[in-house]
Amino acid sequence: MKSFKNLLQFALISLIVLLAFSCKDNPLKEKPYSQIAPENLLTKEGGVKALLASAYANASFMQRSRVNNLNEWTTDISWQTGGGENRQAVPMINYSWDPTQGIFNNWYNNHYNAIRDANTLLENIDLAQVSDSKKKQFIAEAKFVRAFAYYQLYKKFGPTPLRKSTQDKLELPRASDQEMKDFIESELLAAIPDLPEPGTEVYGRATKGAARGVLTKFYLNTKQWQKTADMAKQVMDMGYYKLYPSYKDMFNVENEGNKEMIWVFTADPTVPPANNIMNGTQPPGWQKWPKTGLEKLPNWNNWASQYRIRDAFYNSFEAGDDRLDPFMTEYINAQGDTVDLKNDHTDDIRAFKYVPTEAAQGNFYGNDWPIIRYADILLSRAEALNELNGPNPESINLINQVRNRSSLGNITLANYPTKSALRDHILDERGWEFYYEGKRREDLIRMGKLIDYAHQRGVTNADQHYTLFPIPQSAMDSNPALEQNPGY
Amino acid sequence: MQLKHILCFSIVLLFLVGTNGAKAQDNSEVTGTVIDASTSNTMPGVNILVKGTTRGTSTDSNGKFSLTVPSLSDTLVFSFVGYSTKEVPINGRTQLNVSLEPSTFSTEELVVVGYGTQRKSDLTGSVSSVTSDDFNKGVNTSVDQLLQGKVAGARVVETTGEPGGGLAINIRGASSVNAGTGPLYVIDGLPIDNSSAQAGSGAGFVGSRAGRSELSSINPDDIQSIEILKDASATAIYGSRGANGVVLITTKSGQKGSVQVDYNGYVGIQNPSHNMDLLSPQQYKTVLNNIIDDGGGNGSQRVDQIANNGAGTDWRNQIYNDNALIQNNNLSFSGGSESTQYFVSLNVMNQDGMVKSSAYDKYGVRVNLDQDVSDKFDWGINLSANYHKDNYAPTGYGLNENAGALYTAMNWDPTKPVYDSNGDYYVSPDLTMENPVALINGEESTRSTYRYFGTAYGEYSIIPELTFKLNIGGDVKEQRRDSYISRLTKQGSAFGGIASISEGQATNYLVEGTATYSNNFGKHDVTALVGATTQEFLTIRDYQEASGFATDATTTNNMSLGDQETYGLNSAKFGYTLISYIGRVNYSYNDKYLFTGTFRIDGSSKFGENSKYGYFPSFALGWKLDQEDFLKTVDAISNLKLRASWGETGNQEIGNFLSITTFGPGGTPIWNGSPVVGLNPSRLANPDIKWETTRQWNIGLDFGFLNQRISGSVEYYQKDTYDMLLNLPIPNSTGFSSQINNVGSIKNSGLDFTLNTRNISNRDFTWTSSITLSTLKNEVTDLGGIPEIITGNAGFSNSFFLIKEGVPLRSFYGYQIAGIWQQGDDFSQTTDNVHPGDFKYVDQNEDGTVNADDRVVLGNSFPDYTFSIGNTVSYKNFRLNVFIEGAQGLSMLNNNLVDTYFPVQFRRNKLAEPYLNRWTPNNPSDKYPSFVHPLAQGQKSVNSYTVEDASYVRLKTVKLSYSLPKSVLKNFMRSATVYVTGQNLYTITDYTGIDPAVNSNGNANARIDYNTYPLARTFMAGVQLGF
Repeated sequence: MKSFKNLLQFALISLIVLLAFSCKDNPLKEKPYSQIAPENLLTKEGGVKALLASAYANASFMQRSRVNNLNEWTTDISWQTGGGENRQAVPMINYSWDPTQGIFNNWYNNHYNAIRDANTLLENIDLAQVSDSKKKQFIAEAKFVRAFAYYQLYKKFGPTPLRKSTQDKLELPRASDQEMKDFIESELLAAIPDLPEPGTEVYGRATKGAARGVLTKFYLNTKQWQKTADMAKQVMDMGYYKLYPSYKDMFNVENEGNKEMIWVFTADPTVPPANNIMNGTQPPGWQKWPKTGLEKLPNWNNWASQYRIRDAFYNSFEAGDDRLDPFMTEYINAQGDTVDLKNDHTDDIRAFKYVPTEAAQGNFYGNDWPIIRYADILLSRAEALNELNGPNPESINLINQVRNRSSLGNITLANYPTKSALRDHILDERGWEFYYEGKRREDLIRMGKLIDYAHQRGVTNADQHYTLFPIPQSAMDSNPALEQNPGY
Repeated sequence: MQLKHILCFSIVLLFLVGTNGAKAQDNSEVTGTVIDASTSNTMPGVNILVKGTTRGTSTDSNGKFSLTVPSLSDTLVFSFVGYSTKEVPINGRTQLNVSLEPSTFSTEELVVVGYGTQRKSDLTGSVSSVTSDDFNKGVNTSVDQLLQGKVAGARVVETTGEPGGGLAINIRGASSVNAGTGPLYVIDGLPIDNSSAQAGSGAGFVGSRAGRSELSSINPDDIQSIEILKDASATAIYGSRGANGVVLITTKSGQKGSVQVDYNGYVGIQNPSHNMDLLSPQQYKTVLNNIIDDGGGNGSQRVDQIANNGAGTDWRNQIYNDNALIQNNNLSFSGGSESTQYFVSLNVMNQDGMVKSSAYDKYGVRVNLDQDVSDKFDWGINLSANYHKDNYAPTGYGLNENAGALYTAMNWDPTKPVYDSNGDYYVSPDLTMENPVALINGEESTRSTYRYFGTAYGEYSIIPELTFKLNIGGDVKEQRRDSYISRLTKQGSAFGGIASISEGQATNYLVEGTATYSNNFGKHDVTALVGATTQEFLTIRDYQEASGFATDATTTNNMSLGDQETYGLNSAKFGYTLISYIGRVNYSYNDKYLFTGTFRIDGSSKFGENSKYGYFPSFALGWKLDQEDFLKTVDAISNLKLRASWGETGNQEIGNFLSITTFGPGGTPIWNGSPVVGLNPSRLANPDIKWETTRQWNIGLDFGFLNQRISGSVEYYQKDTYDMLLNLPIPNSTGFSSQINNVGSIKNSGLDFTLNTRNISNRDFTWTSSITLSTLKNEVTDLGGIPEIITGNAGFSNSFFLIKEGVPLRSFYGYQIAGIWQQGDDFSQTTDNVHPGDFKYVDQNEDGTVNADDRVVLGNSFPDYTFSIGNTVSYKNFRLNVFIEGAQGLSMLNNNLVDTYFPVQFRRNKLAEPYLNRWTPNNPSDKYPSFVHPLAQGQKSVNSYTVEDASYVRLKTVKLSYSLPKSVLKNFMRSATVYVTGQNLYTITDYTGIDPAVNSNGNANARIDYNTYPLARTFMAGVQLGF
């Protein structure tokens, strides 16, 4: 009897204990104090701008030493030795890369981050409490960034999954070649009307000129010659852009924002990774550059990794070409000795195109990276016209405008009787003009010379399938719907 | 919120008390004395219980007791640690004199289990108990060091030799890929949060990957016992936090009687137990110049002069502190009256690091109070407050300009002097690293921590069989880390000094109510427990940095003196809540057949809307074979118990907010010349995220022969974890690389064996031994359809931990080296760029080239078995304790060896052996390459040379002590012991890195040795005095 009463009391107490703790008002809901929920962010102009900023940053993240390294080490312009980076460089130089290289992963992921941000913005823009004209511009910029990101992916990998919304299913297969090209083209064309005129924009954001410039290069690299010529003409007819008078000075920090630059990656040493190509460009132990008087400052890091220009490329320049000015062929080291890179070393000349300044900090330099500049528009139109009609006066004229800027004399129509002869010259001209700007690989591929040049350098295992990079292994592993590029 | 319910609770209590009518009982008083049967001394502190109730008392300092019993026909149970428990039926007497028999290994000991205690003989779960006598005898700055090698199935791995220590504990393998794998620590009933309150090591300062132990806030001398709960039956009561095992720490409580004062102090010196062999300056010059002659390196980097008249510089000596001092002082007071007992301790510890500029200082105080207010009610409070200061030397995984002192000291050119002719720190044009001495003197980082934690409880017995307990606990940790990089370093002078302050405050509080019912009905014994508990965690952080100071003098003490343009700011706030309900039933029939069932319901705020609550049951059976009639008469068998258990526990140690979409900092573009803070989505939310569940079964046999002269246990377990919280790779085209999902499973199984023997036991001479042996097999059994996940990075090594079905977690994945290419070999087999003298890698798929497809599993971090052997020999008043431990069949990535085989720069120093014995045409070694073209085949860093066998056997501690005899002490002192101890004395291993046991990656299941702070060989002398 006693035991039963005890048991009863125990049961009663247990019940009360359980009840006492169950009547809470959803205490298990998470409280993200330091993070922002969508309903707080995308309704305000500041929030939309922040998301757009992230899209821009992600789309241009690879536009610095990375773009150059991927695009030049596989070509005749430059190569690399030394340091930990050599592990990534050797496969590029030797055409022995495979889908597990980290660099392909970075390229793939950073652009898809930009696409993700742009998609998020486009889906939620109607929530924003901003004026219609501002909305239109945000939409145009998001479309521009997204199309630009897809174009970068297309150039490297061929068509990739075309994600137009964050609600698309996770495992998208690769788009067809035509779908991808159509999308890039239509998005850029749709963006142009609502983008600001060049000179009126917040520097670093897209303009009508930037969209037209990207379209010009897109048409050029997809061999749509008529469209190339027409779009290049539209850029020229804007009347805003012109060639900068001095080749070597147009990349300096003090001349940023000049009218030759159509679309750049803006860099600032206080925001990593900025422009970091000079870390590998500087030769070991250098202190002074006799040609210009430039002296190394202690706050410029000089990596163990070395970015070196090939002698054959250096020797291909015509005499008197101003575009030779940025090359460092000799320097004075810490011991006071003069090191002759041209005569005593092999393939060791350095391209000091992006001259470092006092403001640089460690690995980070502030020179804006030129993605598209006016000289490119002129040469693109020249090439397109040649492809359409064969050698013609306007092509020659456009090429000469670029040559004259660098103190070179004119070429004449008579010297280039055939389409292929002029095309070959344009290839050379582009090499001299755009070295160290990440354009060589796409130019060689477009002109069908990438593999031939590789063979000439002794890379005998190079074959056609190397004109496309492999889809990164981690992307293949996480998406069974993807098919790898041939040969990998 | 919770306050409302405590109130509700108390009202319920009062209500029940009021309605509880007086019972019809005798309530007579029984008194008596308890003595030790062998010495006839009176015994204070003996525990006396009225059998079948929770009513009891203890003997006072004269061994006397007085107790009110419900009835004179009840039975009293007398128990004391180290003595056989005795049951004495009162049989109507009011005066009882009892004598207890000592028994060194008693099965009647009480063991702490989750939310209560149990007799060791009644345990059905797998619980290992370590009391203060068994703790490791060496330097113990932190609780985890006490347990190293003591418990079968619990692997304690040092992560750094830094002062303040750092360890990673794994109980029965690793059961998760992405969620935490450390056990739950519970101190006096309060589960604590082991993470650091502040984040980061400071701007520009290289911090080590493995932090110092957060458990160092607990003074090891305050600990009475540690219980390790290993199987599901023991841990399921901790539900969602029990999957990795539970470590229960119980602090000392006071003793009845006059105050006892104890002083414990030691002083010791520490030196590195092992250093890797580098090239001497002369060897460096000869070898490097030879390599240049053979076509490697660069002609302009020839070594000519050796500074200091040919002696060069031993960079490690420059940064080491010889004979670094450690000292510890502990003073405790313990005493009390019949109803109130207290324990107070004060502790001061100072430890200098073996690397200059590193140190650890700790000051702590503890007050434990217990009071028996009446027969029905008692309460207690355990409070601890401490302050500790950490001084850090720059060490860690940073590279090149960001490398720490240990890395630069190993890699610096030994032919150069420390200072140049101007007295400035020497800067080498061929090395992109700071001068090691400049780093030590120019970079400073200190952290101060204030920690207060404690528990308070109140226990009320409504009736003797039914007790209520309310437990409240709190833990407040405040940390502040100051770091400053001065102009003595290149980095500091480039930025004009870099100062940063990082602060954090982590608090948590616990409110818990339990009700226990305990009774016996004839041969049936039942104890039941129900309860509810809630715990809330909150962390608040802030951070500031600035550079461009006019002078280094103010360091971090006046941030406004820095350049405004360089100001950096940040803050964060986050937390989570847990709510749980628990229940347990212990039943035994005739003291022979045992059954335990537990059930727990857990809710956590970290989990998705759709699955906030998890359910965790467990069952266990025990059979005391030695109580059976057919074995009872066998004298030789003193204990034989078979037990089996099964249960489910959970793991919820993942980050916050994974189930919701939020925005955080994204890319930062420069618009109009200024940075613009970008925001982007932080994750792809998963609203279905839930617990990771581990199903474990365990079968064990506890045995004892010849009156416990030989005793021990053997058990086998298998743990299957499913619904693993995995960072599932999702298509990269989503803009995210992974999403946390519940997918995949992992299996751990093994054998735990413990043996304790009293080999010789005479009046003057005794010898006892203690042996443990554990085996472990770990395997990833399901990865949700993903073929493999490859992670890992350290220095220039990337992607080498393989997670794949059928293979142990994070197995090392890399290239196999067959030997060295020799002159005259058939080079047509390969299209790779190889020359005689280069590594010959195995082309596994025989396609003519060695690339990522030719990688194979090279080993893993799980030992095939670990063991320990402890021997204690005592002769009269001398005592010698020798402890050996070891592990076999595990590997570690020796990442400093990677830098030697794949040099980053030609003029960096290297490990001696491979270079001194390198391949040359005159010495066509088949083991070491020529180092003329070390990077020609790319940097295949992780290979069969650099993933080394880290098996070892170590003489861990030797302690010799002498206790002054009573005849000398007389009434002056209670006890006095002096001792000397040596720690980490000798190791047998093939491993060539710093130490086979230290793992600077901080993860016991993914072992990397890189720039590891050396392990100390310590010699210390100390005294223990009792007044």
